[in-house]
Amino acid sequence: LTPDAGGAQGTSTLLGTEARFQAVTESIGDAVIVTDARSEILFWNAGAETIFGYPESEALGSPLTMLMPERFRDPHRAGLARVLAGGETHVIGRTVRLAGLHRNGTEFPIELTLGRWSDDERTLFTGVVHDITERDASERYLAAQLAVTGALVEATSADEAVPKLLPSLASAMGWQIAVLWTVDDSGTGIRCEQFWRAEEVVAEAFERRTREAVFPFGEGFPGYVWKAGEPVCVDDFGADKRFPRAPLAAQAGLRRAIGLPLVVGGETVAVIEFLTYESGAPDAGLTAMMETLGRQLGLFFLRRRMEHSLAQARDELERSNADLEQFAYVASHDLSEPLRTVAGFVQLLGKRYEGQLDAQADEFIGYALDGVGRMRQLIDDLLLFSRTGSAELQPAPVSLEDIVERVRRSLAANLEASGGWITSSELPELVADPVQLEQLLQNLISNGLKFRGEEAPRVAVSAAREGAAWRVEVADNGIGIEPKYADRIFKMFQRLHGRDAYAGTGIGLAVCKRIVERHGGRIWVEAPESGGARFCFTLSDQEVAA
Amino acid sequence: MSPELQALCILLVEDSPADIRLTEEALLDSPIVDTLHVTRDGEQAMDFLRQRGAHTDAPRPDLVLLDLNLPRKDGREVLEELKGDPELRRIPIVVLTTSATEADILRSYDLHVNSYVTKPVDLDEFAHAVHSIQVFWGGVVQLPPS
Repeated sequence: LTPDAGGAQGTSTLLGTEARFQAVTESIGDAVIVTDARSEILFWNAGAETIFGYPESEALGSPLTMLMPERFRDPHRAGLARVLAGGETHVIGRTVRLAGLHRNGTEFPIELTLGRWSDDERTLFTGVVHDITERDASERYLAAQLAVTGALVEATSADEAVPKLLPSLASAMGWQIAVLWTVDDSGTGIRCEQFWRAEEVVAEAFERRTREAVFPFGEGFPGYVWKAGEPVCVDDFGADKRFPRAPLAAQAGLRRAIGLPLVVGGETVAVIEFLTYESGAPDAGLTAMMETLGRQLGLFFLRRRMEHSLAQARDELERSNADLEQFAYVASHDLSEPLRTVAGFVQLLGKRYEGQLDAQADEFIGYALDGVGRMRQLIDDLLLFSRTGSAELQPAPVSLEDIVERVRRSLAANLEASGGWITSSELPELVADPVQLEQLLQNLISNGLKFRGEEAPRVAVSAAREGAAWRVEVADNGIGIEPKYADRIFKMFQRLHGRDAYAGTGIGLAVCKRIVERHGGRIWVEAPESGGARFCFTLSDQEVAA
Repeated sequence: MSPELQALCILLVEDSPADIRLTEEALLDSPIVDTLHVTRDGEQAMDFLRQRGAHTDAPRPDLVLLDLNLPRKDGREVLEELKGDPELRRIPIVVLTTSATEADILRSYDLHVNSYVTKPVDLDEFAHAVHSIQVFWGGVVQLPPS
């Protein structure tokens, strides 16, 4: 190694050792490098030439720092000084992960094991360098895949997952900066939605510019990836004149840029941009991984987009429902006032002047009273409908049999007058809002009695298990409903008969539908062969188990 | 109707002429004839009760029928003022209104209203409600001695 070190005997021993040492070091693939205390290279094996690209002639006598990326050079010098001063001996003998710099300027991951020894007068260092590009890459790809899968699986919504995605992906890959760019709704520009950088990265100017930027299709790196529609890797982004942010990236020491378009249904909706200190052409593994990732994340962004439009639709629906309820409530309240006046005085007229005017006047008063009565019913029903939608549900265990019995009692006068009857059999206990459940059965049963045929009206209430729910049936022997009207009857104000045949406002079944749906069930009507109508509804089985 | 029923001096605080008329009709319908005084807003009602302004000769009513929605000073304020006044708080107040909202009902009782009646739409029911008020306050109840 050092011919001028020591005396003749020492030299020959050393030479003998050196020959053996050389034989060993030439036969292994790792780089073996010996330096002195000034970091000047004194020994360089064939493995070192392969890994770093410098021939021995060029390497010997050169500073070791040429084998490291710029950002490691000063820390290396400082660390060496501390070691020589007697501190930090713990780095000796340990294996650490670092980055190496190839003669052609590309960076690659290495594992370095450092040894320290002395000959008679000098301190020397041996470094064994293992190129871990391949192992590192496959480990990182695996970690990245895991990171993405983890983020997708754990999050309950895409909105929640997106912010976690960039950091976990970038740190798994060992990349320094990750930016999520999303295409505007108008499709005219792409802008930064999220910026993430590893803690050690200093890139203020780059970050500021990135956060402010809006790139049109084809412009800037994100616009370029957007146009390409496939993963793009730019090996020396910092020096690339096509990209306006390149000088700022170069300032921060960022070299390679990787752009991943997220494509949903053939359309790019977002671009993820990664920047890293590494440079050089990416290997096939990276490209393949990017493609897989692009597909996976594309699906993910599709999910996010669907979640957003679903949430929007739901908000709109809720708003319009609330508006409608508010309107119905206010309208019916404000309608009550003038109605009271009209009703009061028409009644007074009738009472005081009936038979004193002519027959026509009596007839007119009769119509007016009739109209007032219908209007009153309509307002009451509207108020009921809006309360059914807005009142907070208070579910409790209730016996369906008890509910039917209460309805039976409240309809007693009706039953007596019509000669009708209500039968029920083996009704279960349910969990439902008792007030609303009673309203539901009251409406269905009284409908069954009202739309009667020639015979005395008969309504039968029964229940049966249907999967995890109860299916309750209210069947009558009345005039029945033509199947083509089966949907229409549940809508507000829909009536199938003239008022003179059957009274009513056309709100009752809309109230029923609302009650059932608020309980998470379904309501429909069937036309049994035997005639009449059969109303069925389901109530999810929250039956009291305890 | 019980024979000991006494005619009441009633103050009706109501802004709608139609409702004033209907209330009069209902009261006239009964065999005992009460004295009915009417004020059309809350300010006037307070003047009447405190015998101020145009109402210096006003009698002290046995009963006040109070609507809630009134111009200038509304019924809730009138109620609060009356029940906060040691001179006037013994006069029974019956809120007689179209509002059936829970908030109005609770608020009125919190302000110590003596009873709360929602005006029925139907004339007969309305008349019945007014008669019930008459019978209760004019017969069943011991009014505070004046």
